Amino acid sequence: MTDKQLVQAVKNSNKTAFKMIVERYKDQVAHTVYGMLGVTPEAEDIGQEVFIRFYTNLDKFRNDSSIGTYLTRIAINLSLNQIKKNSKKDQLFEQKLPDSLHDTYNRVDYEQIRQVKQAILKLEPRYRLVVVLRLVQGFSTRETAEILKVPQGTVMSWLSRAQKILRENLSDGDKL
Amino acid sequence: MKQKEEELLLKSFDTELSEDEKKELAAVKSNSPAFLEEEAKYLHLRKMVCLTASESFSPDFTDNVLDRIDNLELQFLKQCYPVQFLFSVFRPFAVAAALLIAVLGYYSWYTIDIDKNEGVSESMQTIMDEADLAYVEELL
Repeated sequence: MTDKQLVQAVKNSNKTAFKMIVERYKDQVAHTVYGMLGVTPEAEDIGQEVFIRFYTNLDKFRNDSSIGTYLTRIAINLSLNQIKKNSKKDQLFEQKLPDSLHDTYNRVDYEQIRQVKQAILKLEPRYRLVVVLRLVQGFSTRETAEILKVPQGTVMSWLSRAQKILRENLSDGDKL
Repeated sequence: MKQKEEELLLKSFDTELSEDEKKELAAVKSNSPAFLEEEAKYLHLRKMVCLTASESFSPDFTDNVLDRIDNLELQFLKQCYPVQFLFSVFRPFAVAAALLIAVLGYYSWYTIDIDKNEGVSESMQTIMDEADLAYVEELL
């Protein structure tokens, strides 16, 4: 079933169609939420909230944007809210990576990935946004600008700045 | 690196490069070793960043989302449509009660009907008996 057909089916109260949407997009939402927040206790809850907001606001969803873009926009908004809450609490989580990565990569790569993750989470939210959307999710500059509701030039300047900060913050900056 | 080149580098992985930008990119790549060096660094950074995106939600994520939506819908019914809410909550009991009432109703109707029939026949018998008695008395 195409996304449009699924949305129509959900509008007709078809829960199975909604389940298919969740299955289809949960990894994309996970990459956005975890990319923005890191591995925090709230991340999964926010992921669920993304799909609940999508379901409850389905009447407002028009098929002129894709489901992926729409869900990412919700995920970004909820993640930014959470970052604000966390900054009030002054929370900082030491980032852990999934155990499966231990098997896939050697110790050096694993440590390097962990450092990159930590460096991304130290970025200002706007720079983190473009890194997650452009580099992790692979959205184009135009799509990223559309999601963030900023001009394309701004997306590029934020990405350039983010890249420079990442290089400065990483211990092996000369490689990056 | 010039600003224009940096812009091209940032857009080089964009699937939406225009034809002119593609040509410019090709020209810069062939003429600027500095650009190629920067591109390699950018690629490495991108690879590392992509590798960080390995987390996924728990296996029961989808079921949890659906459960929360079911709860929300019940809450919505409770607040906006209390009668429907009560019906949705007590539907199994309501069906059972309706069936019970129907069975009891039928049973009592059936019993009354039998009693009534018996009553009618008894009273008819009495009338007939009385009629016979009156007839006999008349004959006597």
